[in-house]
Parts: sequence; structure tokens; C-alpha cells
Amino acid sequence: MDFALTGEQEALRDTAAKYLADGRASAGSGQAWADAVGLGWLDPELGTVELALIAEQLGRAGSPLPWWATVGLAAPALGAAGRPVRRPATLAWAEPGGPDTLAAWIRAADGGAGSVAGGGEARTGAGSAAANGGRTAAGPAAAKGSAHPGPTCVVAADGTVTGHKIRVPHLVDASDVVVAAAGAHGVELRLVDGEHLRPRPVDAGPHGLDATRPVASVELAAVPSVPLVAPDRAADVLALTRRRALALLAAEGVGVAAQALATATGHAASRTQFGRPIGANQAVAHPLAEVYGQVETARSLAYRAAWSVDAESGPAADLAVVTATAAAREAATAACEAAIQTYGGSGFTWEQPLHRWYRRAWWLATFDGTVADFRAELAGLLLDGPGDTR
Amino acid sequence: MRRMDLRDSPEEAEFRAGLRDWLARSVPAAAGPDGAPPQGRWGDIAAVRAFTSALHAAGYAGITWPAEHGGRGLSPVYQAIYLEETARAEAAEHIGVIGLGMVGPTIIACGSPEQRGWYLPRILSGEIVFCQGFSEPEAGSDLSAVRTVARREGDELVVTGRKVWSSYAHLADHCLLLARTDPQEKRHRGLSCLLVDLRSPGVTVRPIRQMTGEAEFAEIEFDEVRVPVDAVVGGIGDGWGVAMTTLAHERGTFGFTLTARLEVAFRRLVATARARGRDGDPLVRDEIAARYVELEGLRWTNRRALAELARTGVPGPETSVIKLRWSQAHQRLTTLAVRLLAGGGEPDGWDRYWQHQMLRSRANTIEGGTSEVLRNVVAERVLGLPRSY
Repeated sequence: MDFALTGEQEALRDTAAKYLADGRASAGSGQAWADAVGLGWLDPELGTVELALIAEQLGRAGSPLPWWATVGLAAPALGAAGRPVRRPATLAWAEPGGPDTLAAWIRAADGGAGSVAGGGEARTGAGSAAANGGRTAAGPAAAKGSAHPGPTCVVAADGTVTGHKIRVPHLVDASDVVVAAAGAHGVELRLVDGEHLRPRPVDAGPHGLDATRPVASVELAAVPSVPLVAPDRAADVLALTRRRALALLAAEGVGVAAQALATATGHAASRTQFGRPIGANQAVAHPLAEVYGQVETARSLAYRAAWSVDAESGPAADLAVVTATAAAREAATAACEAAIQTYGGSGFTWEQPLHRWYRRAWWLATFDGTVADFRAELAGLLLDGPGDTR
Repeated sequence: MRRMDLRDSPEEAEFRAGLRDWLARSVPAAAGPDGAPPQGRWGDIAAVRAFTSALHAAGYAGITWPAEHGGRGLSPVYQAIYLEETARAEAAEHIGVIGLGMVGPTIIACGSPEQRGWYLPRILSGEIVFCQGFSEPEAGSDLSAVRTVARREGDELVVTGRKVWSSYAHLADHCLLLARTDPQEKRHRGLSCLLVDLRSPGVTVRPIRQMTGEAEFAEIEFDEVRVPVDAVVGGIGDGWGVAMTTLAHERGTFGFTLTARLEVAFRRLVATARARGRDGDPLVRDEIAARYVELEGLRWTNRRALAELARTGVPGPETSVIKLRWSQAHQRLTTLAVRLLAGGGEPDGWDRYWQHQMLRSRANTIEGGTSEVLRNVVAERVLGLPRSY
């Protein structure tokens, strides 16, 4: 039992923090991407714990880099096909009228809606449900039946893809786009060149809050594609993708929360009113102490989830990832809200950059489901199996 | 090369397996016919004493104490495993919780060779049972305001004063007492820590009846109690430093005990939700999931702090929030459980159990450092905010 970072991991984290502190990385330019490649942030040998440490620092810095979409969303499929990950990449899954979340795609890839019971409440990854021996089938959610719409995005015999994808993160930045679509033998993952796509940026909805993490819709009309992951492996690769992407976002949320807390603490110690620093008032200090507790417990869960993704079985990793997701997303919004309140009027201004982290916190809070959705999934994992909870 | 690994090492796994095996053989079934746990952890003192002897004989008392003082000399990881497994097995505690966890380590750190030789083996075996005499009616969160006086008379100190909220004092025969030995000095100076035999003339122990109806704490009155000077731990006047050593041990791996108990409580919460048919209610499911996230947050933060402790000898700053967040989590859990019972089903032992737990949990944000004091500690010592008023 040794829950401590190694010297290498600490060095990776500290180098990232140092690089991100000098502002070069905030440009969102080609140079920033080249720097990320040069720093080794795309190296295939990095484990999920190492990636989580980078994600945390990127969250702290409020970075616009399309790194998370590349390593979290696209890399599992690219890696499964033995393709290098060098260029900005992303994954297109959500469809209007089709499977909406990654969990829904995992179910669809696992042989359709019928194989796994559970509706919106029990959003259990299909991989975990299968490995659980149908544990998730017993719960009240099962009674709701299976009204899961099938994929509408399809692969034609000539390998072209046709369909409508929504909420694709960083699509405007991506050179490589992994597309989840239905082929003749089930769900497969295919690679489309970003050059062939005409993304329509979307600034409505919760995801529009954060311009540094843009989402776009796209219409695919017989777009050429190459195969990455065949139907027999799609569910497993999508399950890994979901675990990896969510674990990295949990770490990013911890970074956002830590930055908001540090900013608020600095202000509380230096801003003077009534002849003393405002942080000498318990009414100001105590909410920040509570936030500290929330951030540290979320950090523990995020690191543990990242470790679990590489080291534990699918069901155990799903439980760890969903738990960390709920904690980190709540910590991020709560820390930003406490920070804005600590700053008083200036916290509400455009010039005070707290709103940048708050926007990112809300982006995180709604990505692929809300905190309530993830708690519902957790309840399914905890309550809908027989016997003990662990 | 060392790698982060959250699993037990082979040695740790072996220790855990051996302990589980021992517990399976040694813990008597205590649940009633409806499966509800018995009231309180100290309901049957004879059973607690018997279990203490068995623990000691099996080598599970003083796991982290140095071997030269009769312990196993193992790292805090093993203590954590012990605390987890005994809580999961719903085993009784060693009767000398305060002695093993706080007073013994204080004697090891600050005591004389004679004190170590006499007290330590007796604490381990459960022959003597310690309580802690720190808090007073006028010295709660502000411990430096103690008024209990120990007046020097030749080779003796004569103790007069009143201590309150002393856990397990009604079971204890010894007390680690914080008293003022120099009445001229103020606040943190002029205090001393004494090892007092509670069977001495002039000592009166009165149990304090809590809102649960039971009495886990007591008030101790000292009326001209004569204590030999060599009962002082550390030097005369060093009491504040010694007391802080004791409290540091209270806040050390105690998080594992608290969290392991919360884990048991969570398991019982799930069982209650199922038994009362409330596990399909989406609001209940949401709350149960939220309680699980809190529990897991504590579990893994304990482990992270433990790794820091093993590496540097000092627990990490995140330790300071464990008791704060545990107390809130436990209060939320017990109040949820009581609401689960309100629905249907024949009332049984579980109603009594959860009502008791719910009332008892109100003390969690007060005992062992109030939440307000702990938030001050985090704000000032961890976040570096200015001292509050």
C-alpha cells in the first residue's frame, strides 16, 4: 500500500506547472501543441496517473490546449489500432436521436440495448455490467425497460460515414477525428480526417460556457474513413475511453478547484477592510477551510481513479472513476463559487479571471452527464447487485 | 523502482489475511435476532476484557509500538490494516483505546525509563486502563485555561480540580492529567502532565449521562489527591508540550478508525434501505451515492496521508480535514438512516440502533476538536490565513 507519487511523477507534475505558469501555453497556438509534444505529454508510455497529473496542471492553468480530447477521448481507439498519437484529435459520439452518452455507446456496442438492463438511472458501462455477471440487471431501473435508441450514424460498404454528431469537444482543433458509428456487424470506431469536416461551433448549452473548450456539431455526408476498432472490440475500447476521459477530467477538476482556492486564499490574506485582512474573519476563512477539505478528498479520489484505470478490473475501475467524477466536479464548482464570494464585487468582474475557471468548472460539471447522473450510476453499482457493497 | 501501488504488498496482504482469520475465530457474534447490532461498543465489559486479553495474546496490541517497549514495531500501514479489519469484523475494541493510542505513545516519547517499564506492559495487556483528563468546565476548546492545580508538598503533588468529558473514565483506573503546577504562570506555561491512579483517596468519578441515555464520558473530581512527584511525564512545567504530543496521536491514524467505522455504518445503511424497501427511491439512491463518495474520499485521503507519514514521519496537511469531514459525513449518514426507517416495516432493533447512532453523531462535530476549531487550524496552519479573532 503506497499512495505516494514517485520522484518521476513529481518531476513531471512540477515541469508541467513551471511551463504552464509562464503563459506560453495559453496561446492555444500550434506552438503550444508542439511544446506539449516536446514535453512528452503524448508519449504512449505514460500511465493514467501520469496523465492525470498533467491534466490537473492544465486545469490549474485554465489551458485551452486540445490535449485532453486527444489523450482522453481519441488515444484509446488510435492506440488500439496501433496508430501514433501526435496530432490534435478527438472523438465524436453523441447523436441527436441516437446514443447520447459514452455509456449509451458502450451499451450499443455491447450488442444493443437488450443485453444490459437499466435506463437513464443505471448508466453502467456495458463492459462492467457484463463482467459483473448481470449485477446491474436486478435494480429498479431494470423495470423501466430498454428504450435505448440505436446509432443513426452509419458506415457504408465503401467505408464512408454518414450521420450527424453533436457536442464534439475540440472538433475545430482536431486533425484526427475518431467517429463511433454503426457498421454492418455492429458499432465500430473509424478514423476521419479533420480536413474533410465542416464543424459548426455551438455556443449554446452548458458547454458553450467555456470558449477554451469549444464543442461543435458536424454533418457527415459520405465522408471517407478508415477502420480503427472492429465491432468485437468496440465496447471494450469505448469503456476504456470513458474511464480514461472521466478520470482525466476528475484530475482537471481538482486542478481548477486548487487554483480557485489558492487565488481566494491569497486575496483573503492580502485584502484589508476594517483595518485587518478579511481572512482574519472566520466567516471568510471557514468556507475556504471547507473547500480545502473538499479539494483534498477529491484529489485522493482522482489519483486513485487514475491508478485504478490501469491497475484494476473494469468494474472496480468504473466504481473508482464514477466516484472521483462526482467528487471532483462538485469540488470544482464549489471552490470557484467560494472564490468569487471571497473576492466580493471584484470577483464578479470580467477583468478578475475567476470566471474563466468557473466556466471550465461548469463545463466539467455537465460533460457526458451531470453529477446527479453519475450519483445515479453509482447507486446502481452499489444497490442493484446482490449482497455486500464491496 | 518504486511505483504507486494502492494494493497491499505481499507482507501487508499476509498480515491482513492472518488477522482476518484470527478475527473470524475470535469475534463472538453479537447481533440480536433481527440482525441489529448491540447498543454501544461497551455494552458488555466482561466481553471487552476477554477480547482484550485475546488480542494481546495474539500480538495485536501495540502494533506500531517499538519492539523494545513490547510492541510489534510495525509501520502505521499495519495499524491501518488492523483498524480496518477489526471494524469490518465488528470486533470489540481493546479496552485500553486511550492508553494504546495516546497515553502509551506519550510515555514512550516523553516518559522516564521507570514509567515506561511499569506502565507500558500493563497498558498493552489491558491490566490498567487509562483515560485522559484534559478538558475542564472552563477549558474546552481553549485547553490552556486549565484550572486544576497540582501543589508541591515535598515529594508529592496535591491535586485539586475538576475534569470533564473524559472518555471511558468510568472504566479507567488511571488518568493522564493536565494540571497547573505553577499558579504564577499563565496560559501554556506552568502546566504539567501527571499519571494519576484514580483509586487514590479524594478521586470521584461521576458518569455524564448523554443525550443518547448512555454514559461514555465522565466527570472526575480531584479533592486534595496526593500523587508522587515521579508521576510527572516529562518535566514539571512541560505539560503543554506533553499534552500536544498526546493530541497529535489522537489525530494521527485515528482517521482510519473513524473511516473504518463509517464503512461499517454505510454497509448497514444499505442493508436498512433494502430491508425497508427504500432502495428504489431516486432521492434515497442519490443520497446513498453521495454518502459513498464522502466515505471513499476519506478512505483514500487516509491512505494518501499515510504514505506521507511513512515517507516523512509527519502526516500530510490533508490529515487535518479528515476528522472535520468524517464528522459531517457520519451525521448525514445517520440522519438519512433514521429517515429511511420512517416509512414502513415492523420496527425492530434497527430502529433503536439508528436512533442511537443519530443522537450520538451530534457529538462528532464537538468531540476531539470542534469543527470550528478544526476550521481555524486548517485556515491558519494549512492555508496560511491570518489568525482569526
